[in-house]
Amino acid sequence: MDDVRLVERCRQGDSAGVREFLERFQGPVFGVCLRWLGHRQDAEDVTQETLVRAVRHLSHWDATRPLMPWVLTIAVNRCRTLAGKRNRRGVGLEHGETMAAPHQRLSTTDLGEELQLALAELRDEYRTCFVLFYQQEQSCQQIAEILNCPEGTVKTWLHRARKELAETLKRRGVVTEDGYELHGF
Amino acid sequence: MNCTDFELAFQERLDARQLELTDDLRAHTATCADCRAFWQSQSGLMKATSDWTNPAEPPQLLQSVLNELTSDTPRVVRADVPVRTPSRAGIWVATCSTAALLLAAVLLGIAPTPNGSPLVPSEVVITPPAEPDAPMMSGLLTGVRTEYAELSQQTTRVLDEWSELPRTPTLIPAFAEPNAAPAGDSPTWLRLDRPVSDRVGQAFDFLWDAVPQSASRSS
Repeated sequence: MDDVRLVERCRQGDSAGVREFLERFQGPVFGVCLRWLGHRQDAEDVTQETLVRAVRHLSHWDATRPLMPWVLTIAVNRCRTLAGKRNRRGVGLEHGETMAAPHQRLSTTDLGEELQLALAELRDEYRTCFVLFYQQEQSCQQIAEILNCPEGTVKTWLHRARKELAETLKRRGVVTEDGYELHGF
Repeated sequence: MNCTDFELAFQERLDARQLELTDDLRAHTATCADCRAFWQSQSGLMKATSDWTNPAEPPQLLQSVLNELTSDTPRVVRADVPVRTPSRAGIWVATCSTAALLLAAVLLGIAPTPNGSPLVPSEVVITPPAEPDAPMMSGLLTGVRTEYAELSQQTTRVLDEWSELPRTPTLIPAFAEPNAAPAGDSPTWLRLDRPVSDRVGQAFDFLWDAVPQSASRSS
């Protein structure tokens, strides 16, 4: 079912349509929130809030544009809001506070977690671009629409995100000095 | 190709999700160790993200959202009914207007109290402070009293003289009426001079009485 038809059904109060809407978007939204926030419970809360807001405000969606970036825009904004509250309260990521030494981590944690830890150190804009580009496979143009900024800015942020991530992984010992190969991927 | 060209070209390929190097890029990596290391680290990162799938969402998430949407259904229905609520600007305008009217009434001394008398009292009883004033405060209050007294006297004198100044109707033609009195007689609005000066004098008397008398005595 295309986006327009699905939204029409939701706006008419069709419960099956709403359920289909939620089933279609809960995975991507939860993925963005989890990668962005790095905290599962927070990601669940923000995902729920995002989906509720999206369903309630479907009348604001521009039918000439794809639905996924619109929903992801809400998700990113909610993540930013929660991160802002965290910063004001001075609350850090739990796993970021309990990181072990690099050599100990390599033997015990998987590389997906290493990547998540490295993501948490990025600036919000870099992290958003990276997650949307690689996890949600959004184009630079779509990311620019989501973040409401020029496409060139997105490319710059994406470039810096890649560079900082590679340096962070190298600093943590995930990348060896001689071959610059990531272990275990 | 230099290193800057390599990095720009390589980033363009990464933006296009293409990991394979072109011949000229590969030739540069063969001669530049830094760019080769950069390419290898980025390749490793891209391989990592290629396996980066959406995490499994919690099973109760869908039902939680449905429950929240269902519980708020009456509110969604009410949202379609237009409800007039006072705007924030309207509230501010009303508040400011009321405050301005009250202030004007107090300044002119015309606002009646519940017992019918003006707001400006004829006599104000000031309770003297329990402890003697410090010398600095006494000096300060004495100065304030002196300046108020002089200002009050000057203002009253100027207002008294102002009503006696010669005026011609041509100064403010907008106020000139077709059947105005002949030259020499004051227009009707000029007769407000004396009441206004009286009111100002009363206001300054009130201020005079409000300043503690002990301040002037201590000096």
